[in-house]
Amino acid sequence: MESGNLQENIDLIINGLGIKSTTVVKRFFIGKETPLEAAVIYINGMASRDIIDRDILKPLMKDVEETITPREGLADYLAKRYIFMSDTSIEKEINNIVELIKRGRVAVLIDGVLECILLNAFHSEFRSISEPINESAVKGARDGFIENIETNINILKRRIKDKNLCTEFLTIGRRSQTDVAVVYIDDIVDKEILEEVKKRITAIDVDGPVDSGELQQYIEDYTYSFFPQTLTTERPDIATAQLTEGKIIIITEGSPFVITAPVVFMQFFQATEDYNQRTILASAIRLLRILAAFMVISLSPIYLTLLKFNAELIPIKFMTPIIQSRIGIALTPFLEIVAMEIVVEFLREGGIRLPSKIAQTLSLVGGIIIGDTAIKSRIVSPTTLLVVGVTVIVTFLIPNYDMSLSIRMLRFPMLILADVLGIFGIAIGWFIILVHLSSLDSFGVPYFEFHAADMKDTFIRGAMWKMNKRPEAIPNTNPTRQTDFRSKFRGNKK
Amino acid sequence: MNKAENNLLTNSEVVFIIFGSMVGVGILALPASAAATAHEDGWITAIIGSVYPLYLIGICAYFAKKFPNDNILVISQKCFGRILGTILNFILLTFFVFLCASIATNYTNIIRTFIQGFLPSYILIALIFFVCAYTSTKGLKTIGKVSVVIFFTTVIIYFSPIGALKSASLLNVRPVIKSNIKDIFQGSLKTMFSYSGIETIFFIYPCAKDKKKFIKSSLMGLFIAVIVYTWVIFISIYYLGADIAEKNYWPFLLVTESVTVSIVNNFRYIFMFLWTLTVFKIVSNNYFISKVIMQDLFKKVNFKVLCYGMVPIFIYGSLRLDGFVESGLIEEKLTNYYVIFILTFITILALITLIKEGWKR
Repeated sequence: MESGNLQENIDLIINGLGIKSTTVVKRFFIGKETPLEAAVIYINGMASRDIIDRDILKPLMKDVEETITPREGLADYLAKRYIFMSDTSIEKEINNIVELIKRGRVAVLIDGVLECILLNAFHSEFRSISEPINESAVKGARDGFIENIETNINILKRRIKDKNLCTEFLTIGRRSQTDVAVVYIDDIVDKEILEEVKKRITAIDVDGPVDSGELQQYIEDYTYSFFPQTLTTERPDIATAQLTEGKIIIITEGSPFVITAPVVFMQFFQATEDYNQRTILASAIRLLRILAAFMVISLSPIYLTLLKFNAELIPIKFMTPIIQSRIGIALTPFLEIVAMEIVVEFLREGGIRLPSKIAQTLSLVGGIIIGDTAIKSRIVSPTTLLVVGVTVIVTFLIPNYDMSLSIRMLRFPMLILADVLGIFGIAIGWFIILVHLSSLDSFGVPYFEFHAADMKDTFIRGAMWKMNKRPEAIPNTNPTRQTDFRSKFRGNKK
Repeated sequence: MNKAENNLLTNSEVVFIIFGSMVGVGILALPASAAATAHEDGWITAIIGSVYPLYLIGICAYFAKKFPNDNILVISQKCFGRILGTILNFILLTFFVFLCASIATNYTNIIRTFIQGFLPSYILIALIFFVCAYTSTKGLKTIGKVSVVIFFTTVIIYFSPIGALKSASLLNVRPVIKSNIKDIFQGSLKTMFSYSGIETIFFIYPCAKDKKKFIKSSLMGLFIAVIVYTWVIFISIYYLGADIAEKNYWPFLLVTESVTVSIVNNFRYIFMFLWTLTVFKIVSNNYFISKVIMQDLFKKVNFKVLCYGMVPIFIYGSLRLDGFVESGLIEEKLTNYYVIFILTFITILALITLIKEGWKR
């Protein structure tokens, strides 16, 4: 602040906050004999009125039993002597004061003093911490991120108490001025990737508001790729696991989804339970998921090619019922499959935004009635419905929502290729998928690359105590994760 | 993280690029040609035939030491001068075009016979080359990664007929070295040609991350190829007997049909799917090398334009070779000429380098 004039300073701050904003300015007097004028400024609803009244106004207005004259260091003196709050700071710069008031701080300005006291009385209504509905786990923590950035950071800090856990704040969005926190573990993260992430976030120039899904799209490289190049999660246990692997977490104000970067393809097939279950079980389930991903893309195209081009390959015992069930069906196998796949997509998309009670009706009408009547009215054959039904079920095995949707959508080009070119088309489709995946990268980290050392935690999940090194796929500055502590068991000495 | 290093080939990528550039379409017919000359001892020819790739790897080791950052195109221009060097490079280009075209033609012949009869061969050929052009635009690193993934997903097809071991007679391959040595050597000359594609090493060694281990990795790739070839010839002769193996166009395919999968009538569907991926990989590898030579000839052309621009040449080449029986004869002759050319070219190149070095000393 350039002058100590109270009115001028109030005007400057209100200008900074916007003349028509819901700013509250309360003027009051401090001191016993010749009272000194002061003012409290905050944005209505962002700071707790009770705290302001009880811990700021009451002691300053009532308890000051001395004469206060404007002098250097007065703000600090008042904060130390009279204000019953722990989070206080002294600030001179008017722009900083305005920015902090926007984020819920309370400013106390004193006439004739160039400094201002800033107090954290932040208060806002937020959802309480609850289990994320979209990412529930049978055997895993029940907490999830919420819409408040500070709470989210605290959740992470509670899980990782290491002094190297760093949080850096950035602001994006010209109008929304959304806070974004970049969280990482300083002595594990690769500095080059960290700089790249920060560079990309700071370069964003949009109006806002910015949600984590939008931020994801702004910072990724391949816009027109099917595959997500960053991973979002609502689960703190996943986020902390990522941090210890040398990844960076990006938390956006107002979004319960945190972004992880960089990522590799196989990570999307790993779930929390993998690490909480026993090794053999977890490995079997992981293999099932990979099989599921293959089936989502290929099962209906393979069925189509067998029906349309290579019927001779189906054993006769299977062939007879298939032929019998297809008698009188007007649609070609391709149209039949595509029609059913589209109906399933309609049901899925329709069901997402419905309240759960109506969604039950949708699943009843969609699943049972449409399925049954489609067969009876000879639109589809029961075998087709079975194949389509199985592909729908296996979709739910892919733990990540973004990846599961992307993989579902890949079925359609694959179906067209299969219809036109048969098994050759499916091979073309898979080859292009492989080439495309191999050419992708996430912040310079190869997206689809296998390292021999990481194989114990890729397709299977090996013994936890043997994972002494961090995954090689993600560059890091500290490769050792743990020591061979089991050697100390049962008198085994190394 | 070193971004520049991320674009270099790892050791395992080198292994499987080299394996993937050699082993592909020839594998189905190889037992027939091996059994035709060396009879029961056909499988030995695969081991003796590996002399050719071993020799090339040996020379490559020398080049990699002398010119670690220059591929053969630059070395050839250094030794033979710009004009002669470029002409020789161009002949090398025609070899890779021929290799790709011959693989694509053979592949379409087989797949049309067994599973894809409803599509004309020119469409199949055109699609193969468009897919390979797309792959080439993504660069050598992507090809390396794809080679690794495809090797591990398709390795099952080479060893799938393991079940045939129990349903055949050991008499089919006994006694060992029954044929005379001359026949075995003649057979080895034929098997030697199935290692073409190994020439790729002269183009990729500057791109290896660990240059010291490049030769070791190449030898590893070759070693796997030798094992696969030997196994394939052995199991075909063992299962069918040398007489039937030599009379069949694709004996190995017959052996794979000994595998039964209960949902599909035979293993053919799975085999063809996986094998198509292998063929895409081998054509992509060799297509990419052709692109590298073309890029050297036309330095100013945008590389993506070049990748797709080369497609018609390859389609034309393949269609010229199309036709079942004739193509076999033409291919055999052309392969002979090309192998002789490459051997001479590489040997002279190495000799000139050696002499130049001697003078300097």
